[in-house]
Amino acid sequence: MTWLITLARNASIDRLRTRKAGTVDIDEVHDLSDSAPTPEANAIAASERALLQGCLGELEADRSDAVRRAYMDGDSYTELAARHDVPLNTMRTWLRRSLLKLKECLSR
Amino acid sequence: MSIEEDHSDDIALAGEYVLRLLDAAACRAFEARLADEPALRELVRDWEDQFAPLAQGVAPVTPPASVKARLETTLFAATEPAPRPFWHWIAGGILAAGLVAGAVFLSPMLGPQVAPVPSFTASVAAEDGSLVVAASFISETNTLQILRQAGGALPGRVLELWLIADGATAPVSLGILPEDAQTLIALPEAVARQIAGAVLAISDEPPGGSPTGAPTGAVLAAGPVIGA
Repeated sequence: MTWLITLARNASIDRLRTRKAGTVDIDEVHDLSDSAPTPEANAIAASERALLQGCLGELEADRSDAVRRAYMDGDSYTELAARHDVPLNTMRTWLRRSLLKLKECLSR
Repeated sequence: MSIEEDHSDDIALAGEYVLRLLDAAACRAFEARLADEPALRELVRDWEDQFAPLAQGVAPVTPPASVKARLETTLFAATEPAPRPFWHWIAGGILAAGLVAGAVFLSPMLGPQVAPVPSFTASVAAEDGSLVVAASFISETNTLQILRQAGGALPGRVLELWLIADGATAPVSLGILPEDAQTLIALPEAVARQIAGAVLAISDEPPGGSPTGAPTGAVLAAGPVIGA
């Protein structure tokens, strides 16, 4: 499933960026449909999700929001910096540090 | 920089790559490293796996029926009696017959071998015919004969062939297609067993092939494997 999500996400970001419209709702470009996972797969997915949400929750609110937006909305550093009203390099530092904290938490 | 710092730098870098935050130049440099650094590929796979649960929060959208129809036309055009794919298929058949005939005439010189007869064939074609690849599977030798009949890789990119086994959750790479139009690919026994009912697909990938082990570029052509 992960490869499909990755592929769909990459294709969606490519389309978004080609259109150069940063305001398109991801729901309009994401044709992700659920192929009825088994109860076991559901349970695994739910616990993986809880783990990720928990670790994102350990970050400061604006930083976890930036990580979420980068993944879910395909926001670029420029867009994230503008949204949080910080210089581009600050946003880059924020995000890289957040990624390291996230990895540390996920591998606990 | 210490080894530890290097490693955390790569963790962050791989995360930025997966989030698609790297600019074009940094992205190309990273992909070049991916080609020969298995540890880096693992970091990318880990991030992809770890972020994927976020996508479960996306409300399912039922795609319009036209999407499925278009998809089926793209994937299964060769099996429908539409004139163009049909002629492509026939042309492939004639070519294959020519190859077999050639092999038969040549084989007495090579010893008492019988020309291999494909047990499965597939026409891996783009919807608009811009890329057409004929594949024949010889079960005696577990080899896939590939003949590129139209189209090719984009400049600075390569074509990678994938097998999506019946009921499989992920495609298996069969390798990069060489620049030569004609090539032989030896399949491992485990992969060869899955050929019946599978779909072959060709994706656009960076030089050296997909850095992640799954298709990363656009799927350019696809076609079902048919018993010969």
